[in-house]
Amino acid sequence: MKKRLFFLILLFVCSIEFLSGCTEKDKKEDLYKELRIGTGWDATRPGDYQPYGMWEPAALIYETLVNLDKNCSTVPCLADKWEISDDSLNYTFYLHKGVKFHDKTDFNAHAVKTNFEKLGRINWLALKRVVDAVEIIDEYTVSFHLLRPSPLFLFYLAGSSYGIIAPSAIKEKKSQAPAMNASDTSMDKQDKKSYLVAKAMGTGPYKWDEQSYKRARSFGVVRNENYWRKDPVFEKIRWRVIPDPVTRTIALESGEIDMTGQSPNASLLEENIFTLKQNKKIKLKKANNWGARLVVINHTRPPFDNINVRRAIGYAIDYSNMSKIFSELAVICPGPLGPNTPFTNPDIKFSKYDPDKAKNILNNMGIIDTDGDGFREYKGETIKISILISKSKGMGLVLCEFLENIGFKADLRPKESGAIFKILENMNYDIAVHPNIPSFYLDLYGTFHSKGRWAIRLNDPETDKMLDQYIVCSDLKKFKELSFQIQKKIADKKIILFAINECKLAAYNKKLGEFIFPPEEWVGALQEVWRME
Amino acid sequence: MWQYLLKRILNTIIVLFGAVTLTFFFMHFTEGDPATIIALDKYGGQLISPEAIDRLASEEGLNRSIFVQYTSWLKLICTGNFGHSLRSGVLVLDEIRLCFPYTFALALISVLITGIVATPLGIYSAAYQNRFLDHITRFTASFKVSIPNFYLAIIFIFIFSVKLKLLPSFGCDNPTHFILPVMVLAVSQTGFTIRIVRSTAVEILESEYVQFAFARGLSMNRILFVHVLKNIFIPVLTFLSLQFLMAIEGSIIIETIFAWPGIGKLFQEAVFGRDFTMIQALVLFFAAIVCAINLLVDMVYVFINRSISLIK
Repeated sequence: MKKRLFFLILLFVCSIEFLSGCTEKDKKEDLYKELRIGTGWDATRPGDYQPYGMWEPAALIYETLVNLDKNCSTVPCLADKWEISDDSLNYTFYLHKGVKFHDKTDFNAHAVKTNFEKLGRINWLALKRVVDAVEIIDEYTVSFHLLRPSPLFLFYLAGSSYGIIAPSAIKEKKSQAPAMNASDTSMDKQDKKSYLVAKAMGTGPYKWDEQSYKRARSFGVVRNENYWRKDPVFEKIRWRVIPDPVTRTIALESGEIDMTGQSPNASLLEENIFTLKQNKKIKLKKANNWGARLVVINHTRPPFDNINVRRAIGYAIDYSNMSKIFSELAVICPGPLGPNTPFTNPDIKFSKYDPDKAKNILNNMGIIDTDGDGFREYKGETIKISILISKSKGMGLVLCEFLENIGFKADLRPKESGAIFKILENMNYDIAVHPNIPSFYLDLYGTFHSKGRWAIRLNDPETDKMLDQYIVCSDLKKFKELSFQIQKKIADKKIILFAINECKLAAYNKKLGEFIFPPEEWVGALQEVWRME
Repeated sequence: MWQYLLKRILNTIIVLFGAVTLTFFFMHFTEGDPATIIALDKYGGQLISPEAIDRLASEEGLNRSIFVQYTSWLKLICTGNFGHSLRSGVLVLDEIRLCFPYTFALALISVLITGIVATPLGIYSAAYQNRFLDHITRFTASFKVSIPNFYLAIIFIFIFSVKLKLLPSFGCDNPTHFILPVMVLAVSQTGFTIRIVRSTAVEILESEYVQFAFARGLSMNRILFVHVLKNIFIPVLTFLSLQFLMAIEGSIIIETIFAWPGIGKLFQEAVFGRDFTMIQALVLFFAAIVCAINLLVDMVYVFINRSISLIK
């Protein structure tokens, strides 16, 4: 019987090897006919094609007035040039002539004004706070009148949310009952007209392919044959929805998709990256983000309200070893901004790893171990630090080790990211790892001003004053200087332990050429894919 | 019979009401502000603002008291409308209608294959105990039972998609896409089912009436396929109905791995995105399916064996 069993197993293995050999040859594919991208989920919303809802295809369907180049400088796109008034309250854009939307209607100043006025509650929400009105000067000249100077105005304008949509595609929205309630809300009654984007009509290199759309399964775009710049390289781009990163990795290896990992929706795990690195047919491209997730100490809670305790914690962490935990996926930086933004203060450095110095500081403050249990006491009670965290638990455990090394009892307090926002708002933590990149990336006001929504509550009138000047600064150079000063001020307070800058990492078929990441996520990860060579 | 049916329908209504109520309150007592999470998901980091969150909460009725939300939700489902997805804005019923056929097909095919493969194997294994076929069947059954689905799925994808390049590893575009997920589901279900069929068949084979049939000189095949199979049908049917329900409800992992556009994947996305309306509707839907299938199986018992009475 054993012989029979052995024979059966042998037969099975041989047949697999035989079949494997038979199918070893790769199919000769026309790479540029269709680019197949693996993504984690279908973020599109049927019947409402606003750029923010579409995520990945948005940057290929819609174009913005300005773009950012690889050095993060604003460069022309739909606007050939622009002028800024002396008081920085008026931005006049000279639009490119002869550009047509996908429905063959003209792109002009009227389209820009319509977009701003009708989509102010959604796409243009962030700018609506600073833009008073949009004025048509002539058919191809449009002026934005600002309520106050906004040094980041052009940066925001480069974001894919501000892609210009064909006015014919913007339709009035019929009021919809709330998701879970049978009756109308007072909000709906108060509201004036609201609009939605009924069709995906932009000026971009690709057109939304309605026919290939299969809800939650796949979606795609086709080449815009009348594109105003050079011809897009791929005839079609098709996204396949594959939620599991392991399956995405396998699909890339088996040639069923050509690219994945290119956006947060399609991110890969460390083990997937390790696997793909071994595959000679796959290329990995990495880039840093602007935003970083902050790891903060609650400076309102004793004994961390004392800057020397926070300073001691800073000395207790070996940042170079901490970075190794993330391998390819993230880098540790001093924060609050990512290491590569145009406004990052390069003078802000980590504290030097010196646990003895940390211990000395604490000893000198009288925070010592009085009961011999190996942990320090403060006002007669053992100091227990809980680290509020939603992901990167490995990093959290290492942080606990560093804290215990200087005599603090530390443990993880894992919470779902949704819960962390509330806890952060109530300042109910010791150390917290922010679950999301602070949304404002370059705008320090929201996070560090005492009136900011996500305020860490520095409650420092001096910093508030600087932030008040910063938010209305009209000169970009001065803005940068102020940004540096504010970052220094924040760093001196030792509230931010460090920041986690998650990297972008695209994996793709080597034969496709060179994939270029845009300088920042918000302009759309795939903005440059149409001219991949 | 009608009395029994009425009783079961009343029970079903109570079960569904309990499922709706528990899910609603469990969801709302979890930590975190749903409006913030949904706004983050909807607007992304850059566009999120206090106004956006507050507006979303107001538009979707998330800022109302929990009891107002609950009664509104009950009213809504009583009208047969499950509201719209907080994430995609699509009507929940439309989403379920779109996804359910895929899950149903996957579950049905895998259970049919399981029944077709496992029943004869289990019976033969019981009839020829400690013979080569029995050893092989028992060994493979234990093997199948002990391998987790997700692991089996990855192994199959690696062999058939990456190495052999014979089958697609994900999606559902043509019939070949069915092969791998069905194989994974059927393999694990077959392991369990063979064991159940075998143990039941062994018990039946040892019963007096079967021994009497042997004594009468009836052939083995006649005994197996007439006497044993008829009596094995009820436990197997019960077990397969459970397997079918498990395939429908427990397909989340398989659907996620194979990017199968079914209800499991929908559920997973809804949970991660805190899509309250979708989660609540799906729980209700699953509860209704469980009740319906249990009732259907009970009815089928009567048709298989007329001696079974539903009302005591």
